[in-house]
Amino acid sequence: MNIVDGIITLDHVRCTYRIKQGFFRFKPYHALQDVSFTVVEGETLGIIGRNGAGKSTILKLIAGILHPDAGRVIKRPDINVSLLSLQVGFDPELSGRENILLGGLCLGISKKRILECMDDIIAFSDLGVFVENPIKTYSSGMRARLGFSIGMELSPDVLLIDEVLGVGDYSFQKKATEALHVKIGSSNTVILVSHDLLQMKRICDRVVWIENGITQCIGDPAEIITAYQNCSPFV
Amino acid sequence: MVNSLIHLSNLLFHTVRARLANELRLYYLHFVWWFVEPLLDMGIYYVVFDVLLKQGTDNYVPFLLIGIVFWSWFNRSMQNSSLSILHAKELIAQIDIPKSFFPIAKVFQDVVKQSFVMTVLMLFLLLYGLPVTWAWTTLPILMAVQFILIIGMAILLAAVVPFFPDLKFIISAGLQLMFFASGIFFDIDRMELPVHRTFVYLNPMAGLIRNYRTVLLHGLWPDWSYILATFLSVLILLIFSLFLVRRFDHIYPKIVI
Repeated sequence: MNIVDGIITLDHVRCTYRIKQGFFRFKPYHALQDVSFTVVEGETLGIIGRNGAGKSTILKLIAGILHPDAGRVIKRPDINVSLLSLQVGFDPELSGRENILLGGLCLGISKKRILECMDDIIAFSDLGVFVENPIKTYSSGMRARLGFSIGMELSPDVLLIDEVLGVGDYSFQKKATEALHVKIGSSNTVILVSHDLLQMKRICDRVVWIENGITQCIGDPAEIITAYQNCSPFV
Repeated sequence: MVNSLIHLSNLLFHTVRARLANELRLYYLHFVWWFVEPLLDMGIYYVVFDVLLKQGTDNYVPFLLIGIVFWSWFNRSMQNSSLSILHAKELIAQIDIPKSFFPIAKVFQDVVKQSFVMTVLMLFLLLYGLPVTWAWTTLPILMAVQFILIIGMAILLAAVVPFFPDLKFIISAGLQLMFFASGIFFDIDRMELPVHRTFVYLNPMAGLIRNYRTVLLHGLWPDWSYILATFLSVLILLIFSLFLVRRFDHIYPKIVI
């Protein structure tokens, strides 16, 4: 593995969750056992694997939310990585507008830049007057649209995307997919987790296959996706 | 490091401001309760201890109010912040943010509310006709010590609760015990045995409330050696809490309760 070209390298990473069992007892759960791969600048990398294989955990490790229990996650120090997170806003009691500001600040973006992008974010999200309401009143589709718009407009150097291509209603999905393609076509580095294998084959430069927390293989999308489909126990 | 600290304080400022503005707009009764609750408490203690039991001190109304106002500040901040990291678990799973942010934001929200209550308390004390002396200028020092105590305890409790969520029951029992041990409605110096007094003043809230009364009620200088000792202890508490929450920073997203 060539670490020099990569902007992010996972080196024999293990990650363990602690599941509460009793008052003082926690049971370990090894989400990742041994994962290694390198992300090259400008590429779109897909991560595939069955439910519970550890795909989302990998994104959280790259985003710096989790630290590995063994091995290393090496990031070039000048890059800004963020997870495009859709389920929660910053504070459900606050309005969409306030959540855009606070969420952006949380991602390490300056207030000036957020305020500049504010109108674009609101326009992209299609929320209209709802943007002034507390996000606890939003439907899950509306929340997802808001989260997607923040991530798209305030684009960091490396965008981590976890199963978001099915966001919102049909018209928003179309818009989101188009925006994502623009992002992928530009110099942005994108790491994508999805079960939509056709789409992965189309847009990814390379694909990593994770099986039970271990890197199975990495390389050409068509090859690996075919191997993955053949190996799947349900096919 | 400095850059991210500036960034974090910026986030803190905007969060506190947005939450307070939102609370004022939607739940203005919350604010009203900050004023009404101390008055209700005062009424109850006054009737029970002064009218019925004849245990009240001189100037019992301001004596009670001073105790209740400063105790409530501590009590509310503990209740609001102790579960803050636990309740932020969804956000913690999606954003890399220093976890001390959550209790600190709650403490600052309460500081703003407390400053309104303080204004009303001071107006009342002036109208009541208590003598204003130079000793009153030491009030900010006492409040600063209490603030460090609050923020240190808030971070400590918030840091530990996600590992043992059942602690919240122990915390509320502990707060109740502390309430009775802080001399809110009685004068600790009138306790029977001197050895008990020394023991009771190990509780910083008991000592702080006694000193608030020395300053505001009697117009005398506070007990400097006690204040200094308390200041140093709460400073150590704060440093320890910050160390602890930093140590656990990336363990919280891995806990599944």
